[in-house]
Amino acid sequence: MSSPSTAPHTHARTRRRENLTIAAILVFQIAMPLSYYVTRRAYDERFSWRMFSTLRLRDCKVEVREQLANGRTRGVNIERDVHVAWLRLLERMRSAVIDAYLERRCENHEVTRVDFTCRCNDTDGRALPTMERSLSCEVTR
Amino acid sequence: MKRWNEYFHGDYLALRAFLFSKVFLCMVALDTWMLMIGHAGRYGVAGFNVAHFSILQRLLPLPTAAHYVATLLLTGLVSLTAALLGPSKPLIGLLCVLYTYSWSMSMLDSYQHHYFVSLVLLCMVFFPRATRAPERNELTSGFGYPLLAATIALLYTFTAIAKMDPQWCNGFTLRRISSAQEVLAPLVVLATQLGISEPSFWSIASTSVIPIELLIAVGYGLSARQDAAAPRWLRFYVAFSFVIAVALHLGAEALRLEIGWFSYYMLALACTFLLPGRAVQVLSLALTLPAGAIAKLLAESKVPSRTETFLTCAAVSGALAASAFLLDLPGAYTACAVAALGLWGYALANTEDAIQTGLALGVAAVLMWAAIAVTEVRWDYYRYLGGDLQRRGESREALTAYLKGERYAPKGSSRKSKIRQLQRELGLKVAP
Repeated sequence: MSSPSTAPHTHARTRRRENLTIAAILVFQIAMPLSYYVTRRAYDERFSWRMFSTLRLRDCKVEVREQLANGRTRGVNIERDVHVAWLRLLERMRSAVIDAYLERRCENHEVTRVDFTCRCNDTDGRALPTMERSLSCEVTR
Repeated sequence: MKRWNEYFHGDYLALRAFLFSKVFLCMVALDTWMLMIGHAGRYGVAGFNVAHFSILQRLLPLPTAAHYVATLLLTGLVSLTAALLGPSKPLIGLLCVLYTYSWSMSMLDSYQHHYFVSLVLLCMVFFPRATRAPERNELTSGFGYPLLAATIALLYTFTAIAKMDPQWCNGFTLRRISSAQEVLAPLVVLATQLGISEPSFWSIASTSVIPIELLIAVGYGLSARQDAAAPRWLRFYVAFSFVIAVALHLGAEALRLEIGWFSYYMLALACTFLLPGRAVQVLSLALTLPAGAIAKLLAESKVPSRTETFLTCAAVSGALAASAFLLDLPGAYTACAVAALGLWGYALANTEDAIQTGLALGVAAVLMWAAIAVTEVRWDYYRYLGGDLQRRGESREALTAYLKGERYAPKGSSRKSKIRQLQRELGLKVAP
């Protein structure tokens, strides 16, 4: 049982702990969406409350081509390789997914380099600059 | 600091937090069972996955359909048990972890409202504990509720900021959203008759969403203070923001957006936070009367003996096993076994309220089966799975999935022609 003199002290400590929890949760909640605007993750809208954003409604087409050890190149049928839902994320230029997918293609030892291209039209129909990403498979081996 | 303390540690109507906990937890359970499971077939396909957080990617095994379904079933069971028992910190904490894990295990689930539900659950951990329905005018305090109000205010603010973009403000984005052009066509005609050109209409309609969302954000921000001797203007403003919030989310539903139950979650929040106290009292009475009667019945029961407790646990384990069998989904046995083990563990450690917990879990298990059986979620699961397997050239597995799905096919949606096509491809006897 706490004495009358320690009770307010305990209450103050509890209150301080609660306030720190509140502040931490609020800072996290402000920092997460804010980080979208202050960092360069333009295509990664997670945790930023950008529902119905223009980015999501762009009309995009993705192409992945790989260079083989014998010098030839071939296109990848992404829909036959992984679940089609991943193709939608590749179209949205989700960086982590692109990186993981290019690495996956490099797991085939015949492949020496993988090139990713994404062509999009904005919601007003205007063509946007083509976005490209490449991975030299030597880096991953 | 005084203002901070008044806001986060001030009084509010206990019924608001109580009502919201019950309704929200039931919604989460039904959402996981009736909506999310349908897409489980995507998980683990071709051994490819990217988790939301790199630490999960490194530490956890590749999520499979069974893994994902088990997590969702368990999440729903915990959620409904918490709703029936009255939410407690450990149970809501466990639910928050399970739910967050269900979406964060893979970027296949990139719905922002699932992240939002996790934040709501995090705030609910700090809700006041209520094992009985509060009195009509009872006030309570606890920072979870005002923190949730602040969380929603932030969500609306950032959503409004996201729309401050030329493509949105010029109306191009809104036009491309689902069925916006079709649903808003009569308004376009009306606007044209009033001399407003079509592009101007879309621009005005889009741009107007920004101040609306900001007004709602302020409403939520103020709502936590409306019960504690708030000035009239504050209560009036909060009630006004209720009207615009409801209009906004009903409008979003009318546009048939593919956002799951997000609008309904937001409507439940609006009813809890933005309605005047008296309206919440009436709503709460109507919604929690049956639950209150059951809780009273359970509370009045005598302290049970060990035998009674263990008999209850055995019966509930039986109900869980029966549900798992009837569900016919991968991962169902795992989820039900984990739930049963959890109950036995709890009963061994704490026999006093193990019967209540067991009964709540038993009811949740039966409702889980019922919720899945009355919806088309199993049909969705098997047909999506079959479609993906066929697309990737795995005809035999696709046929198995389609055949299983036929058991749950709604009238007129049979995949018999696909089944026959696959049987022909595989040189099997073609079904009549």
